[in-house]
Amino acid sequence: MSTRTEPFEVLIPTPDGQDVAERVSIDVVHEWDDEIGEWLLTPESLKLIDDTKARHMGLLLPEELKALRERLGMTQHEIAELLEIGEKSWSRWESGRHRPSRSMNLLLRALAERRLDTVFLRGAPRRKPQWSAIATCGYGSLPGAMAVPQTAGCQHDRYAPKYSPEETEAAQQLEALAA
Amino acid sequence: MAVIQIPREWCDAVCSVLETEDTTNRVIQWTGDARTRYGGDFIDSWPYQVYPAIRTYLESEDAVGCRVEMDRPAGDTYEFFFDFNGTKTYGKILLRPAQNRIVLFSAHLPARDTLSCE
Repeated sequence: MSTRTEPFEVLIPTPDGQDVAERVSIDVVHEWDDEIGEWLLTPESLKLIDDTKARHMGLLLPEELKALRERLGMTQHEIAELLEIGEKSWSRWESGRHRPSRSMNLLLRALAERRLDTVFLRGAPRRKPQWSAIATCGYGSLPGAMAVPQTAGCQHDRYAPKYSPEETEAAQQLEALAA
Repeated sequence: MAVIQIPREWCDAVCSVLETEDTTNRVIQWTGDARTRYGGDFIDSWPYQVYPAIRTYLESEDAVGCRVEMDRPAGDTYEFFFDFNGTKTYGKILLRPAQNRIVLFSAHLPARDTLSCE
């Protein structure tokens, strides 16, 4: 199979994703596909393009994610549980099939750079949202929310609606979905 | 000529391939031009993020497009418009004869308002 190497410009987005922050030129390999008579990017080239973009965005690369998990001595299932994500999501990140979001990457990078440890994450509260309370009294009804004067219609003793009727309606819809 | 209903068999086969999201074993392949234009038009997206959008369109009953005659008879190619995060997007995909691999020739903002057969 014949190949050729050509320059490829990888565009790096600004943090808000609206513009180009940087243009990075790399060399990528194309291979000639005799069946269809076209030059196609090799799988390695596709990965190189995505890894270049990820690295310049500050995202951890698949190999770095795997190294992080191994340093923590965790299985994919365990780290997914710790981060409250699906095991498939972690698996996809580690294989490079998908990439973590910027916000998740902040957490992952903090773990990788030892600015955060798993003890902290394990100690984080993991209470499931009480959808019925939210629907009735808004998010102010959640434990830990600031107490405000009670208003009519709220069935809970200490907390009153904090959100607008539209937001309460949205919470009710979420509750219906969760049910 | 006018747009035609894209054959269900072609749509189903392409959707099955897209569902794998597999670019490491040459199951889903991109041309350099397609990848360049996708990266330029959807700067904050990853290639795998466009696959579900294409599948959603091709799984619909009214998926229409144009059959594209390629230089070599190596599979069937269709072009079509689909919605990607609320943006009208042009797609052109080749389904190889074995029907288990595809080549993405295009996934970018439309250069024209109509497809080639309209």
